[in-house]
Amino acid sequence: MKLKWQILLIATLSLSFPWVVWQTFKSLNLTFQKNMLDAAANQAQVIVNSVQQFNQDRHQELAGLVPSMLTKDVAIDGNPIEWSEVPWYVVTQKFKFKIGFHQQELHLYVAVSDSSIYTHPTLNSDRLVIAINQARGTHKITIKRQAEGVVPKTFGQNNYQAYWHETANGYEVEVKLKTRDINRIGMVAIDHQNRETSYATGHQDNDQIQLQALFKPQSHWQNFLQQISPEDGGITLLDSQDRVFYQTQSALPDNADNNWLAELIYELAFDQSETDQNHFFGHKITQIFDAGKIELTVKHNAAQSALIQTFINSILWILMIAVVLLAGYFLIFVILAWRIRRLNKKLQTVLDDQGKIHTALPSNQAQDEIGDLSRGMSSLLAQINDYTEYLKQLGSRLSHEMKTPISIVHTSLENLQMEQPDNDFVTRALTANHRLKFILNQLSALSQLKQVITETEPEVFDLNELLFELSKGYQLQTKNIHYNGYSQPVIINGSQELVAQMIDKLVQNALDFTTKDDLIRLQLNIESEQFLLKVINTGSQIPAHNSHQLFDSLTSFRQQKDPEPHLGLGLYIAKLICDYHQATITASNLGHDTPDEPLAVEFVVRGPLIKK
Amino acid sequence: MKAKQIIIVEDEADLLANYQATLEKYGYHTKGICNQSDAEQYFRNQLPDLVILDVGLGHQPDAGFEICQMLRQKSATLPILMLTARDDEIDVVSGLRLGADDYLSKDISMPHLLARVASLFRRQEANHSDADTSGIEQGALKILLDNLQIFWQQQLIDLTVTEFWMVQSLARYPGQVKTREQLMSDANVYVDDSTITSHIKRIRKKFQKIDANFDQIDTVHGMGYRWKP
Repeated sequence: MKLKWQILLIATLSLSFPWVVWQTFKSLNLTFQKNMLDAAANQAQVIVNSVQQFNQDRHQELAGLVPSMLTKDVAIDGNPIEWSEVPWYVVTQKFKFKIGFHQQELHLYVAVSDSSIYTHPTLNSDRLVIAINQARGTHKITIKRQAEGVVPKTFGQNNYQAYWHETANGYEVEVKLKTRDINRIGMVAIDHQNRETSYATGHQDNDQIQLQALFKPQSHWQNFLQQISPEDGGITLLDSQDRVFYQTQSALPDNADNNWLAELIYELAFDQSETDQNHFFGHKITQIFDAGKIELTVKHNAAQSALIQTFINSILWILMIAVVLLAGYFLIFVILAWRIRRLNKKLQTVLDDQGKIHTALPSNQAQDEIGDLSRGMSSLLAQINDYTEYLKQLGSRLSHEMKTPISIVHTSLENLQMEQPDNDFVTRALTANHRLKFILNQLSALSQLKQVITETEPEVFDLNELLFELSKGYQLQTKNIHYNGYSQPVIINGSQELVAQMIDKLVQNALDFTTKDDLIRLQLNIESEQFLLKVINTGSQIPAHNSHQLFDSLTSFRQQKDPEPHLGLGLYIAKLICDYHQATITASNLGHDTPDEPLAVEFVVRGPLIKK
Repeated sequence: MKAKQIIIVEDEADLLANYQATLEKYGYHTKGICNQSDAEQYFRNQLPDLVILDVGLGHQPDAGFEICQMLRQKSATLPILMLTARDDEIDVVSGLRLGADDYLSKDISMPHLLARVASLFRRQEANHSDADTSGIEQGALKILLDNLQIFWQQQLIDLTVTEFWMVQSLARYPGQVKTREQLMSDANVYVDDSTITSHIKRIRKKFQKIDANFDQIDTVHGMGYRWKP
């Protein structure tokens, strides 16, 4: 896979390091918490035993109706919204009530099931009776069943405020008692089916109201609890319905001086479980005993907080360092990959259009392995360059060397022939030498042409017009050449002389393969931003199995032996000139040997146009 | 008539021997010199009737040029023939305007070499005798065949023998296109196309020195050249 995916993989794997550290801390924390919890549980057990003992020694001091603290202002409007947190005291199936304290006044919310409404203005009717006992005596409040609304104050009775709220299967009454220092209270609801028959439900026994004691906190309990509660903690005694009997200090201290961010991170990172009582600030243990519940809160003292703080700091540092390191590694790898890619890209373009090799590669000065690679490549390219130069010169140097011996052979043979004009050996030798000379000349002409090609400066000219001129010249030579030009100028960038040479070669090639009865056609079109130059001649075909070698040098597939020696360079030269013009040349067979479509050969040169 | 004395300066011994054999068969006296210092030594004391100079003498590319310049200083009329190893050198060497009468490549066949030597002698004689011999006249052009001289607007153009034959080949049939092959064969040389091109270029320049508006020689792309009628 590519380097950058490798880097990404390694980077992702490296991220597992901080994750592992995190998991370690988490399990450390859990163990720590568990130990704390166990210690706290032990502590709680001791306290519970103590409280139970205390409770047993004092009979029924944790008993009675516990008024809940009502924190918001209570509107006596039958709307139980202020009572939503307060639990019900369920006396009977049909009678339940809530009791609360607000601004030193006792509030009641009574709910009664009584679907048979029976009311009478003066005589018996459905009614609610509340008996209140104070130090100086007991008095009763009777509230008759009425329509929805504020209960009207009867004459002389201004010690309460009430609201009557009819419900679907009964009624609810909200009462505010203005009497203070109430010791006991009892409530009964009387349900009349008719004038005579009724039954009572509530705090009653044999139709007698049973007063229930209100719970009052006592100082010896408070002192006792204060004594036994742990230093950094608090005890809360609750009844079975979570009403608070006693509380030594707030269960969850404010601790505003603690770092809120640390708390957030702690909750998020370490304390995954939401069901336990563990908290950043401490533990809460709950134990049930016969009078209700004991809640023990143990705060983490400063040392423990510091420990947790250290955990958090450490993990943050480690995370930061890991991220910085990762970013660093990533950057290094990205730069490496970029350098390698840059080297690779330069290598693609190292050979330019003219066949020259550029040996200047990037990263040449670097001291690391990439620099070594670049320098190695540069020297390799330089060697290739030298060798290529040498090879380029080889042909011409060789032919140059051979010229002198061939001249000697030539002059010797000619001298001989002048003496022995009928000597066949001499004649044959001379002919052969003539061919040798021809080959040498061709080769040297070829290397000269290559030299010319590299030195020629291109110019902008009209190919259409050049072809017109050339074809006029060809037509002077043979009549069977035609030119189909293009309707507009065809502007290309190149060398007119070289193009003329190439066309010469192609036309000469066609002429060599045709007779006077065949046709040779030159054609120029423009197609998809390229010029298309075709030289087509009837009367011959390219042998199929050799077609790929057609444009190689020194390949020739002539059937008949020409009197003139032939080297097979013409098409190779045509190809070289095409390369110079950034054009391609292809050859193909046409036709099906029918009168309409005679066998023919088509050479196509395709190259770029100059944008006007 | 006294046999003509020809000196051949050529460092390749076998080639020199062959040249000498060819020329002597035709009745010339020849002498071969194979290095620059010997040649200069000899020419200080006497001059032959014709000199054939190899351009690349030994390993010194300038040797032939220096000998040629020295000879020209000594005699303005001595026929000098320069032989180059490669066709592409002909152009370069001619461009140096060393004042030789002709530049040929060593590829030339012996009969052609003999013909060239004979023409040089004939030209020299014609220059000496001032005889008015037959020629062709076409407008401003006058060709004296025997003298191998061409006049344009009554002025003699300083052409090498090769160039003379080329102009003659073109001008003989005005309007007719001559291919490079035809020009080569008419001039008795065997060179590649680009050498022909540079010959023609040089010919044009020489005419243009006399007549700045000279443009009788037309290039026909893909075919060759023709003399405008």
